Amino acid sequence: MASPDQGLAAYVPRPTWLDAASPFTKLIWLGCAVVWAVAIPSPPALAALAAATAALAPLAQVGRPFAVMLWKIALPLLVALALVQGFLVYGFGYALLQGLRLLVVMETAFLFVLTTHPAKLVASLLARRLPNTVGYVVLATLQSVPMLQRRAATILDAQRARGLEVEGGLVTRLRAYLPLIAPLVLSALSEVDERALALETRAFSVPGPKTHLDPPREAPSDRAARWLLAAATLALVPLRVLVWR
Amino acid sequence: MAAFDVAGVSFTYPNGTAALRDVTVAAAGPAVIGLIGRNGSGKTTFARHLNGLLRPSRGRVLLDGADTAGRTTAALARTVAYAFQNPDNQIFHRTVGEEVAFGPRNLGYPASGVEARVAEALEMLGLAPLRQQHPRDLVFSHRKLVALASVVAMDTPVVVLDEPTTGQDWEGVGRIERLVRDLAVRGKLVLLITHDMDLAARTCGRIWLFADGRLAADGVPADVFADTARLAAAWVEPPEIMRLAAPPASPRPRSPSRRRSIA
Amino acid sequence: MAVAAACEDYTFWYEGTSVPALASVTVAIEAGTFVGIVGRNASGKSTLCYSLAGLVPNFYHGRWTGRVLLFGEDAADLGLAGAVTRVGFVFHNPESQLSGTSLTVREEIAFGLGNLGLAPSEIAARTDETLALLGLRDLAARSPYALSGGQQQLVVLASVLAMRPRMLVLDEPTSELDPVGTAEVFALLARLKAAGTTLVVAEHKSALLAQHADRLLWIDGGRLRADGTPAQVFGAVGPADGVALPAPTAVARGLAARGRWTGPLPVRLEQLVEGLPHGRI
Repeated sequence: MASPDQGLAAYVPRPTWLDAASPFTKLIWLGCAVVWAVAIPSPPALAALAAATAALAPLAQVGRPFAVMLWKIALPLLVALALVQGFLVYGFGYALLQGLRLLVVMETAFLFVLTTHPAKLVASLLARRLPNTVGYVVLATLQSVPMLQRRAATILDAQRARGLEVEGGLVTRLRAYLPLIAPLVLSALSEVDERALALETRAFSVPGPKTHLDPPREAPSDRAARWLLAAATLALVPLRVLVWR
Repeated sequence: MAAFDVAGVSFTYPNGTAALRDVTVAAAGPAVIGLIGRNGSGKTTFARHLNGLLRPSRGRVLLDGADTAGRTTAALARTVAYAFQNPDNQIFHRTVGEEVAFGPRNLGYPASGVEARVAEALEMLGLAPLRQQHPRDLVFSHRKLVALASVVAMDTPVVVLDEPTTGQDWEGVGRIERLVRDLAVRGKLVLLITHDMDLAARTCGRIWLFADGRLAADGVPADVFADTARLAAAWVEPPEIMRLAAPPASPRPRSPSRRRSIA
Repeated sequence: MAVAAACEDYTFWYEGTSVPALASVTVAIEAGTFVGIVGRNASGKSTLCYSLAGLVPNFYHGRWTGRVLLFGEDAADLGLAGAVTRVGFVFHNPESQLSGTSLTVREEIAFGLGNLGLAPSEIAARTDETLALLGLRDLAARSPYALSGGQQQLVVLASVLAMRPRMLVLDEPTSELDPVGTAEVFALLARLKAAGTTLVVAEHKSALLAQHADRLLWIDGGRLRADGTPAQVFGAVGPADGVALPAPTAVARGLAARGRWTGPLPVRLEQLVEGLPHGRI
């Protein structure tokens, strides 16, 4: 997912309109996507929304990384969900609905992460006087996934080298993941500690508005886009009440 | 006595970096071999081929005469135990004793065999008094020793130590030196990957210098470390003590082993 | 000479501990000097580094007696913001110190300046100046994650220096680096020293430290056990104290034990050779 060159971010810089849109706008879009996913009760409508969202990926020139994220993250999650909810709890109809909801949110999140420069996101949030702790949490979340992936691979190697069998049947492989959890969590925690210290040494907690070398630009199209998103979200209310029950 | 035989091994990472180029070398225990070279020279990549963590893009790795291909890392762990650099990447038990027992248990030793090996490993690393402690309550350098003990307890013919002295103080370095000597006395083949040239000079009978994915030198420390031109080309500094051996005012060069008798 | 930082009979306990991490430490760091700190693991070296950087008690909390002064002000009164803007701090793991928000080295160096709220033009100017000063212009457009450990640590140093701290504290900056990276970092430290920067560096690589530091502090069990020139401090250290001696020093001590060396201990090779009768051992 994230190449070593990109380090901690999954961001793929591309000269597209989606990339140029302000991070705040895209964050609003993500929020709206969550509202839409929860509010729409119709599987065909959700499927159409998922398809439309997915179609944005090639348009934003991030088709390939998007597909990779779908394959590596969305698919296993949805399969697990379908197994649990479909087989064991609520029945397939319900599982399908929840799955589609999750898919819409995940796709939007993927597009968000792929087209948003993390520093500019944090800068635009902090410029809006968001408290530092929130900014830090956003940063830490962005940083954590690729870092955990790399760490998990190393831990697995270390345990294999001590005779832990990871290749073989499903049961063997599931059991192999147990010795992963504690070291992963602990090393993640201590790394969080070190990162927090490093951020402090870069004046992260110094009070006052934050700036950036290349500040994110707000274009008129951004305001227009946000109004459009708000309107689309509001339009759901009558739709929900009148059309979908 | 374990032997490994690496023939024409090349390895390229998925992103295209050629980390090993046509390396051919063999070794048998008991011995202590130092693997030196700058970061990216291939020494760690090489060592990871011995227990199947990496598989050669070309060439063959034989362990005790049998090809490593087709055997999992866990299976190869019977022959080659590999101690990773960061102990926090492997420790997950609640006591030091249980952590050290993980390796031998995986290898299928009976309870008595596990107990014997755990006791011996703890003894070798001075950890016997800490057996019931929670590893997380120990300081980093002690956790490092626990990780080493857990690998030593596997009682394999080949032991790879990946930069065991990083972040260790002088006492810790001494403990690891004693461990390496003890392992050799027990007939093991020890591969010591290290940046500490003085440590390598003191403990290794043979030095493999890696540069640019190739084995640039293979010899006794006195010879490898005396070849200043080759070391410089590999971006490696000789041990501090070697610089005592060749200053302009000194009439005769002295090898590191002879220096020990002076001090 | 002006005093950059000072500890006055300083004893510090981390929160929830009963054994002090530092005990009755009194030391003054003069501006423009390079002071090295040696000692075994868990000796209090890191705590002393944190204290001189104001991170103790403003980031790592606890209780203390005595005080630490940073440029004349009590570190506890400065708060975290006051401390980090006066003293730069670098520790051993280069990758954890990268902000994770920057795609290029230039952005990484600019990160701290953005946090200080400087105008974008000022950020650009200082970033370019720092890149030039540290000889990192070639790396400016590269991803910090694609660099070697040594280069990453140089970028971290640059990022901290761009904020123009009055003093720099480094806690084992080369312990994760290979010899090439170590040499790069120490070369930079030598240049900073020549430019008059106040440097405090804790290291296990005592031989290398001794070649650059004017003065060494030996911390053991939280106490300052020796404070002087490298030769003086190495003379005080015993074999079981967890501090490595440079080879020339070890040789001279061995000779001294046999009555064949008198006078101050050599730290450098040339000093050993000069002191040998007839140039031979």
